[in-house]
Amino acid sequence: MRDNSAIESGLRPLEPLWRLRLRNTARRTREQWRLFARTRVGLIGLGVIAIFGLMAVAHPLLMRYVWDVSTYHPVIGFGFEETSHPAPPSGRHLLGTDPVGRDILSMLMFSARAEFTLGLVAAVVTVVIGTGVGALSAYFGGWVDTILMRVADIVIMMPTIALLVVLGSLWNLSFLTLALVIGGLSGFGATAVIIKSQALTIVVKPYIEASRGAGAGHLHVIMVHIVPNLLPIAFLYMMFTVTAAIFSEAVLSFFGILNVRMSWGIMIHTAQSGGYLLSGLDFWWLLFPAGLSITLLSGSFYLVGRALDQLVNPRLRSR
Amino acid sequence: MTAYLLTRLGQAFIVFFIFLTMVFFLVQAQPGDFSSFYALDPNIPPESRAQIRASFGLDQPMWRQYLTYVGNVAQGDLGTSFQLRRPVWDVLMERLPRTFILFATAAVISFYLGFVLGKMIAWRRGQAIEYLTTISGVYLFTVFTPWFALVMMWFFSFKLGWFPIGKFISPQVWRGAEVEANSIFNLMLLTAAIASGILLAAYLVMLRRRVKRRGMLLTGMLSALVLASYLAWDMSGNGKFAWDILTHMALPVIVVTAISFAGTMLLTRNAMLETVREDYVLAARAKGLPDRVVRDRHAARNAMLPVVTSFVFSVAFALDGGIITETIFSWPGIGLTLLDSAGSSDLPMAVGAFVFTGVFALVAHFVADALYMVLDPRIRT
Amino acid sequence: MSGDALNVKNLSVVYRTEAGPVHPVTNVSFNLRPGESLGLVGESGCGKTTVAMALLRLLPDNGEIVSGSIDMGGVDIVELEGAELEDIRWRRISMVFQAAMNSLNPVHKVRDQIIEAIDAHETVPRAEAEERTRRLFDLVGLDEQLLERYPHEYSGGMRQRAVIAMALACNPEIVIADEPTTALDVIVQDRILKELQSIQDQKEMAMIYISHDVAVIAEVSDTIAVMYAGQFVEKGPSDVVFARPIHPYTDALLASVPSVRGERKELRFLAGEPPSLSDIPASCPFAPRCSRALPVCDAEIPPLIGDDTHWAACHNPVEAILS
Repeated sequence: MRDNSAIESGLRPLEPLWRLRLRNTARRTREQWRLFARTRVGLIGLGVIAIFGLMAVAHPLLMRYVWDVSTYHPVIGFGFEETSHPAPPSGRHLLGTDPVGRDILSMLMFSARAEFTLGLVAAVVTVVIGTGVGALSAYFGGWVDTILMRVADIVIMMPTIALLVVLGSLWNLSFLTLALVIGGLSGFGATAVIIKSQALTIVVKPYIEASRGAGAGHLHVIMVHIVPNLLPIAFLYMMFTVTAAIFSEAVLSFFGILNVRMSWGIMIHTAQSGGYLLSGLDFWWLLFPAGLSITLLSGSFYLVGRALDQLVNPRLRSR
Repeated sequence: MTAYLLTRLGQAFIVFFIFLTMVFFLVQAQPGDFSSFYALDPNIPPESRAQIRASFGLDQPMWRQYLTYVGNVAQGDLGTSFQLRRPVWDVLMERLPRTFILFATAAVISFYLGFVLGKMIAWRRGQAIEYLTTISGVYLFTVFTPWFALVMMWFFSFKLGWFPIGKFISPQVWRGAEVEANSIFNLMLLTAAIASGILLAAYLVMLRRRVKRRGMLLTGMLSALVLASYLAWDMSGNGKFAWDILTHMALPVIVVTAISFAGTMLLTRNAMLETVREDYVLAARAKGLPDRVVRDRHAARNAMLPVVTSFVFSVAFALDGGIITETIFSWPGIGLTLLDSAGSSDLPMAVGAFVFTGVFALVAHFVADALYMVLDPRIRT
Repeated sequence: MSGDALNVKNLSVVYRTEAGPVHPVTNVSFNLRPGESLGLVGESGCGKTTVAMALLRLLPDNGEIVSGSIDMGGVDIVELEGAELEDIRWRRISMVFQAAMNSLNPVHKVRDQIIEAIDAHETVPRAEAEERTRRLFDLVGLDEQLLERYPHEYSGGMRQRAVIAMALACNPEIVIADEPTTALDVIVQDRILKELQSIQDQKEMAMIYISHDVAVIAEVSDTIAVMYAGQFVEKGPSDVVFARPIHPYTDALLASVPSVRGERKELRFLAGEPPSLSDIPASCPFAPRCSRALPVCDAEIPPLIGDDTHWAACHNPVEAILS
């Protein structure tokens, strides 16, 4: 960032600014990746995410070219060939079927895509709100800061599930609204506080004052000088938001509060309403694939987040 | 010292009012007018409907309604439950102890366990055990709680038969009992409170008198107290009822503890990794202090500060975990009440339980602040 | 030599890092009589602090004493483990840390931090330990009232004194003072150094001063050892070394210090950087920066010249040494 401000303060750039920035970013990314790859924990997380990513991508292809829609459709399919449902895993249904005859594997893969979408939307919302709140709070200080940080206090201490349960009783929560709410909660809460503390170290840098002195408006300074410096740490907290989003969705679906057709939480909900909850290992395919998927995917995003944390926060690096 | 606490208390009140305001507008902003939404519901008896109108003052302007609402909440009037036809406040007061004991036990155990394990894995940096604990800690932290609770319930209650499956009491034990489950439970709470009070007092006295081997003495006292309360309950003839409640409580406590201790553990580890590089830790080793003393009195004692601060996060987390666990184990606390009433459109009850959960979190927040002040002399002065 | 408080022979330390081994201390030998003070001087990163850490056996996990012995009253510290080591620390050899600001734990009262050191080594009644902390505070010129306070309530100079008091808590035979006054202003610095010297005289302790500041070392030490790239390049009685340095590096160090009252002299500054410690050449490590370097300096390990009391390792010494 420093070389950019040097360019702006007089040196004529030899190539367009955006290309310079792009090259800088690429170089930094390579360097970061090298460090990231050294944290074994992060690689494990990334591997698990990749596996689920493959599942999500593969599902529409399988539905189109391999699987018969009436049998394998994740919501309205029915395994006609089986005599009774839930049927145990077989060559036809690799992970068996659920109490209403749907293919577990197909449901699992279909839901993976939904979880990624949910996590992505929530994460983007978090970054936008968190960066905005953090930057404004640090840049303006004073009463703007006071109000925003008190709101952050409330959001942080609020039990998310309790709030979502109440919201679910007031409104009809869909996937999208859920993503928006979770992203908003994370963005106004912990993420905002952490990004603000990062932003505080930036607003005191000389180039901020230089830019103001050169006649730049508040918006310009925030967007051009502050926000780009906040993005790495915001990206880190995206990971934790994804974890929260996947987890909350699953819990709410499990409680039957969410208005969703199919998800990992719904799969467990179905097993519960079918009375298979205490069947233990006898009907393991009803509970374990979905339960493990939720745990693994949200846990992996968390692991990646922790690994990134070690990059952003070098004190945690091994000695 | 008092000034700091008073400031914090004042802030807590401000936060509470912002919170109430948000809840108020949340309810206001729901689709459809409050009265029309419920006027059509045949399940609501006319007298309740009148009470809703009265408590929310629906015919009055918004700001008036807001003031009325805040005033009512301040007086403990949260309206009347549609479903139970009892004041929301009474229902909450009846169920609060159950949630409190679940949450408090789990919070204390998980904090202790997480802190001890966290400092140990940080001290043994770079060994295989560190990777193992970190990774399993992370997955325990992010485990899908309902699924985890179910697996635990299936394994311990169903397969091994160690604990009863869910609920607060077993009806067959209580058939013909002359005492109410609630009064037994409150007596149990009292016993626990007295015992912890004695332990705390003993600890403080020992600290002041600089008694050595405090850990051993406290363990001894704890065993003596457990034995004493066991005998007292046994003699009172209510022992079997207390035992029944206790066995119902055990598994939910274990589950909430398991899911919330991992967070403390991971955080303690990170905080420790920072404090072990401090010069005072090096100085402590140079002083020839035994390894364990350097770890506990110097490194871990300072690592505790950020962990206590983050207690706020874990309060919210544990309350969430509480809702899930209460639901799965049919433990009739505030979380289950919240979920039930939300599911059956019992709005006053749901909102009341939610406001109460918020107050719960706020109080815990305040306690964490006070604790932090005790632990960090830099804030005290 | 018997009767020495400390006898270090051929001490070498290696840090194992991901980029390969680093040699912060190579083949260092010296001895210290009771009551003597030795000054270690050199640029930062030349291994001074590592020597101190090796003496206390407080090297980081990746650091290792690969050769040599540290004899302290008949005991080789290099061979000690666990409880034996804990027993030696502070009771026989203690240290005033470089960053006095940070070497006091912020959450414990200063008195408790001193008593804790006493308790670790002696069984004394609480009252006696408290009495001793009061005397220690008297000795370093601090008000007894401060004992009840926490470190953050102290000023920088007060903390430095408290740390010195702590180092004296168990009447050690040897005290290492690592940059004891670097963070302080000049007046406080001078006063504390004077006090340290008078305490040393009272208690007959041996002291090792470590500093990058030649002026400080000149003031306090009887003997001076100049370190460069983890090796001693010159050692001798302070007054002699300062008056007639043999090694060009010592000469350069002295020339970079302005003298306030003395003759006007031209200040020279030493160009270049100390060599990387991961790759110590089998020649004079100072040769690349030396103004007197000869072809032989880059090819051969320099010989020791001078006598037992004042020697240096150099091919082309500044002072023509008789012999």
